[in-house]
Amino acid sequence: MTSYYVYAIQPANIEVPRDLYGFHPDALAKLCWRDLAAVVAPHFETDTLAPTPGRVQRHHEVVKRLSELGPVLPVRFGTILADCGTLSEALKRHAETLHADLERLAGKYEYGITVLWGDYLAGSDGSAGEPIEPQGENGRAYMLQRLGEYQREQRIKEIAESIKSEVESSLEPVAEEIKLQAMMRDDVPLRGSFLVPAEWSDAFETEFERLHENYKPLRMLLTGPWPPYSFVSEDYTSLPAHKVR
Amino acid sequence: MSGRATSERDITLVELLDRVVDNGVVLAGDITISVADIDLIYLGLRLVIRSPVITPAEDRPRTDESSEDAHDFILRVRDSAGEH
Repeated sequence: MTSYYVYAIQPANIEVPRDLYGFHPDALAKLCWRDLAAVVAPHFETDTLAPTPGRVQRHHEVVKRLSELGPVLPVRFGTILADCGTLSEALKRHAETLHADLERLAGKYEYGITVLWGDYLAGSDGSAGEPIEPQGENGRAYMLQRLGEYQREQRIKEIAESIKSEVESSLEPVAEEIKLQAMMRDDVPLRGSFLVPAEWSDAFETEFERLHENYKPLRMLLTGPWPPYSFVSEDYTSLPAHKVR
Repeated sequence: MSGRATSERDITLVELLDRVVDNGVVLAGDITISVADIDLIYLGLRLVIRSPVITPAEDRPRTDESSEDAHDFILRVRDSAGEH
């Protein structure tokens, strides 16, 4: 019995280009359940699938190419279903959510923004930029040092939250959905994903450039447009995801 | 759509990993991948911090690395990030 590696979900009436290959030797095909199609390749390996750069890149290129042909839902890397029946059952089980996502995400792309401090803290007002140096070895000096560190951390968090608010308010008019996370690491004040209708792309990129200019000492990195990886429904993710070994 | 962002800024491996490996539809609960005990997202962020520059064309992922282990890949990317 043949297993199938699943790259993406799309409407069944969209043809998969004959020259489209993933990282498998066979050309891609679609397996349909009613009006839903899974874009798949036969998968014969039994070993754990490692996310090598080649595989990850090919997976993405398949999804990207499909996104140029019509609505597409990227499927998470490593999704292998045991046989045709299991795949049909999965499509059937998730049909309602898949339909809703295909409709909601049609004609939309994702942009990613990562904000790095750069020289911003040192250049803003100086109050948050410099680590507190030890002032002595006695208890009072130690406590003062700890207090200083705490105040500095709080100040940095406040600045990160203010950047988050500014980014959100600036890009909200040119994005349909926004996912932002402030201070997920000390050195990354903000990461975000933005769902942008194709016709708003120019406006989004222009607004990003303006924002970047205003926060010049910060390093703001823009990637995209991507297929909407980060905006598929979370209903699917109630299932256990990767078993990371 | 302009496509300007793609042509000017390109796609980093980190952003690619973050999206392809950690996002997207989860059709079934039996996905199993090997990342050799390394937290991809943590690694990804560290790479972004150290190497926000565009991945040069010659360093972009090849498509013939089916035998390459993820751990080797991550170490290779980490090393190349250290050069910037």
